[in-house]
Amino acid sequence: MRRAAGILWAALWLALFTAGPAPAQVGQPGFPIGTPGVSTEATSTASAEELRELLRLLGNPALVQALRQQLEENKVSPPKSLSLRSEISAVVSRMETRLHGLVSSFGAIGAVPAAAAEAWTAGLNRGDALRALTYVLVFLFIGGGLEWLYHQYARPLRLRIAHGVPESLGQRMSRAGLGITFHFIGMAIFAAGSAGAFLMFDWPTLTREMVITLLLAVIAFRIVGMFVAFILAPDAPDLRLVPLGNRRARRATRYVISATLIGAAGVVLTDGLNRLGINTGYEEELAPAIVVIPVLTATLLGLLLIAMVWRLRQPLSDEHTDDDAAPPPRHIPVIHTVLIGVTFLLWLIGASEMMWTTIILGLLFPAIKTSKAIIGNLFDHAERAADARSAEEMHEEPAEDTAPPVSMAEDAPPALDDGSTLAADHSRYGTRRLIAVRLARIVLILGAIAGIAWAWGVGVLSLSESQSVWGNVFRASVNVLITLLLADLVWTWAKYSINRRLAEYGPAPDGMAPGPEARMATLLPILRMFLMITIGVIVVLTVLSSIGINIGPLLAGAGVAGIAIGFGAQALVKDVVSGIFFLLDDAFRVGEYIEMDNLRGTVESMSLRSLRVRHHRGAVHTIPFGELKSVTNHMRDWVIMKLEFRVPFDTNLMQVKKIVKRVGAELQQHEGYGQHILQTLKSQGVRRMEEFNMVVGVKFMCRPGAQWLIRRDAYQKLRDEFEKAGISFAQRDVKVRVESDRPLTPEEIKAVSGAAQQAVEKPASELQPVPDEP
Amino acid sequence: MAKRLRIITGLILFAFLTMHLTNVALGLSSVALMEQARPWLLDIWANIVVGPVLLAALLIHMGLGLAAIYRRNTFNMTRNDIVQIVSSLILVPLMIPHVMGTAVAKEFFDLPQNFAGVLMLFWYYEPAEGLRQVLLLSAAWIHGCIGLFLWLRVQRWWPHVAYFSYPVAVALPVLAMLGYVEGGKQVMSGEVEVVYAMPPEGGPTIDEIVAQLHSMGNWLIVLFLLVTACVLVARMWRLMGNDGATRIRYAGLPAYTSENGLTLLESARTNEIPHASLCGGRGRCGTCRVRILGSSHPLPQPSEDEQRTLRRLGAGGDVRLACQLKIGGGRLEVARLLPPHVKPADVHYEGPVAQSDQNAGDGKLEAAE
Repeated sequence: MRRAAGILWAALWLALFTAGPAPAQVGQPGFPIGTPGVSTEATSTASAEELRELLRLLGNPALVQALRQQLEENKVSPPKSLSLRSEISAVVSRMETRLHGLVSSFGAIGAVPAAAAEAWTAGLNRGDALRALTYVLVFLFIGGGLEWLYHQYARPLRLRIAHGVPESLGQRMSRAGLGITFHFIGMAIFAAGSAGAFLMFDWPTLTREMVITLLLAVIAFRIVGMFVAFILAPDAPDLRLVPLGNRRARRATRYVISATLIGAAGVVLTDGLNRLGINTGYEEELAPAIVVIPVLTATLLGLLLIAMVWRLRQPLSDEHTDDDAAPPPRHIPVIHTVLIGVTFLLWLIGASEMMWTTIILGLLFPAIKTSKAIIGNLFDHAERAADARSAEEMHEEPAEDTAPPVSMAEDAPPALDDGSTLAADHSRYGTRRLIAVRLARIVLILGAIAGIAWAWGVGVLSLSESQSVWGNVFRASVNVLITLLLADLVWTWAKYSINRRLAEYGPAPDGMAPGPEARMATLLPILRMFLMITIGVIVVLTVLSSIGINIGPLLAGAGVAGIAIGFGAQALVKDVVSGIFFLLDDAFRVGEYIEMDNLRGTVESMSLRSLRVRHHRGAVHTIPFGELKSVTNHMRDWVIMKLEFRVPFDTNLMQVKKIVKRVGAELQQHEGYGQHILQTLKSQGVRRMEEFNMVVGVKFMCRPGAQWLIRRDAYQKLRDEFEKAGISFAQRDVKVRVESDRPLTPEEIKAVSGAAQQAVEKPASELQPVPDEP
Repeated sequence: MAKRLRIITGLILFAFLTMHLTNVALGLSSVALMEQARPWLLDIWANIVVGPVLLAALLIHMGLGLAAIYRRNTFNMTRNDIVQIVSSLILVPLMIPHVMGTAVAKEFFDLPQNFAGVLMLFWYYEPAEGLRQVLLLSAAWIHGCIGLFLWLRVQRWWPHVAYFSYPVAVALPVLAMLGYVEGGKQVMSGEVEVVYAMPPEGGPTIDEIVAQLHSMGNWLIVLFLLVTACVLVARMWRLMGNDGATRIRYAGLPAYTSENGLTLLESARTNEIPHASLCGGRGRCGTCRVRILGSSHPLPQPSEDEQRTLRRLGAGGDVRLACQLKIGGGRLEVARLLPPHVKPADVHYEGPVAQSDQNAGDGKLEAAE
């Protein structure tokens, strides 16, 4: 709501004070009746002798040379600067003249109608004015007819533009573009038709000028109307660029149109009287009107604008627009009113530089807000359309599935679902929205600077080239401003897109191997910090250099320090660089179980310099990247696990094979890890023979991380099955053959079994410790 | 009956206008050619048989128009209707002086006119009158074209002809205006010898006749304004009888309250509910038909015209024409049967109106609101 007033106010002010520069220029000091048309009139009415004289003079090469020299000198030498006091007094006296002129004009206005009538009868023979009006009507009718014809034939296209629902932002933009092109072609046909018909006949000078003025006024009025319709779209809320409700848009349209009408009428009247005066020699008598009419027009316009600012601010009760917007602050219309008043007064006293500065500064903030609102509105629409589309797709999906999804719909409450899609869509256009807003801001601010410079009569380029204090300050501040704006733009874009990418990578769910995005989750924060530092440094350096501080020594110093630090921090640099390359190689990601040299564990985090790995028993290893030679990653794609067990020589191997196969099938059915098994348990037959037993090998392939659990179950199930089938695992047994013909005494038996025990245990003591595993 | 009469009289007037403009357009070539073609293009409308018919058609058409204004419940209208009413109201004051100066002067004061004289009068002696002619031409032609268009566009064959008739609709008035301008330039430059009509000897002088014509014209204008004012007052009087309001809900749209006495179509328009209505609320096309989902008050029986249209469309008993259904209090719930932006070509489509279309339209509306 609050934005609405600002937007309209900005749009209107811009439209009016740029559309109607004529009243602003008419009656400036020194040019009591100085419209741009006057000077051309003056040259065209220069007598033939004068022109011939000028030509003769220009033919003289010495004179041309002198002139050129003088021009050069003027260019080189700066304009003579006046003292502040004399400048002020000049300004004051100019204002005095202007005010005096105004007052005397208002005093003399009474005589104008009579003079105008006299000039009228003198300049136009009987009924010429009415005839001119008749002609204008005829031409307008012709133009209008042709345009109507165009609209009839282009109707299907127009309907498609107006009634289609734009689906994406691009479509919306192209639709808006098409719409305005469409209307613009209609306008062009109208203009060509009316002007073309006008040119078919030849006319007396004054009639011609009057008709041209009127036709131009009508065409200009229509162009303004077209742009208003394009921006406010009072009848088509889908195409509206600014976030306004229907009623408010209509009201705003009415205001803008009537303001344009007043402005156009003022211009036509002033211009017409001016031309009349020039053509008939009644300039003196008509001069007061040419001063007074613009003043009256401007007064009316100012009042209308103030009314509009206040009226558009009032909330409309039956408006269904965004209610969550904060209530409009009271001071905004007051500020606008004051601005309009100040502008008007400045214009009245002829301080056009101050007036333009006020207008531009006053407009800058509403314009920035407006551009933000327009862009926001555009993206809102696009997002809403995208939401609707994705909602549609989601609704269609279950219809296509023959079997309804088991518990998905019940698990996820709809509100949550909407929220998540909404968040996704906001990020869909988030970056572009931010960029667009900032770009618009940059363009507006630069435009305002150029506008103010233009108002004060200084070229932006010439000022920044000049060596005066003001030139330097100007150049420096423009440089700083542009640097800051661009840095802001780049930084916002970088930060936003990095954050958005980061937000997409949630932590991997438990038991799942982290996907490739984990690498980005590692790299992106590093990149963000790096970018921030880089941008910060560049901005600081640019700002310093543009405010005149020589940054050469600074850079050199930084270079020297950089070299010194670089030598000192060689290892650090090595760590950082090799870290980046490890990440680029995708050697490991956060959450993976890796092994380097003699260290192993799960990657917990990575810093710029080092890697933090947690051993499965809790110890944390911190390893600088530079120290890493090779890395073994246990979590990639698949793992094969081989198990073996020993059975006696008399075991039925076919039975073992069957049992293994059955157990493999059972494992695959397990709901916890069944889906992780890539190739289930299968027997590999006898792997080797040992002194007391056979070694039977089995193996399975599964996703990394699941192998431990599967191994546990595989052993357990195999054991149970073997037990059921009567297959026992081989045990170490030592047969002691006693070559004796008599039974042994208990002492001898004890000694023998003790020796045998030693023989059995001996190889056991040589066994390697079981490798450590999580 | 009134509908048919309106079209017939309108067509007669339009034919006259077309031929008159064709005659004026010949001025692009020369004033002499205009004069030559006059007996065939203009004078045949003034003979003893056709003249009264033309006059009667004009009077009947005006009367029907005033009656339509009287019957109109709201001035919240479509753009076409606004143009029709405004142009018809300004037509009469624009037309009367022209008719007075030409037809009446010839018939009653025996002042036969010729184009050269009239052009000279319009362009040289009375430029204000000349300006008035341009306005008159624009208003009459626009009024005629819109009326014709509203009638034609629901005809089955119209889409085939439309694209060929648009250029004609623009070319004729444009050529007539250019002919008028060119003819005026010719007579003013003195290329054409201008013969002025002179009253017969012994009768009143030309000045007296002109004064008399002026006063007659002024009286007629005053009379017309009075009649119009009376119609408006009568209409206000009629509307004062309506009080109370109806709560209306279109399926899928927010409900609104509308004062009684309006037709359903008018109430929808007033409350910004898009509604198809190709013939402009005249009960001809049936594109505004709605299904009555529920009403707390009994609805008035459909009129003869409405029944005929509904029969032609083969609509069920719960279907009514929104443009004919007067709302009379209580609650009313209806559903549009055609999408709001229906095209004339769709009306003749023999088959069910695509349901998806309607849904899409509704969806868009919801999105818009």
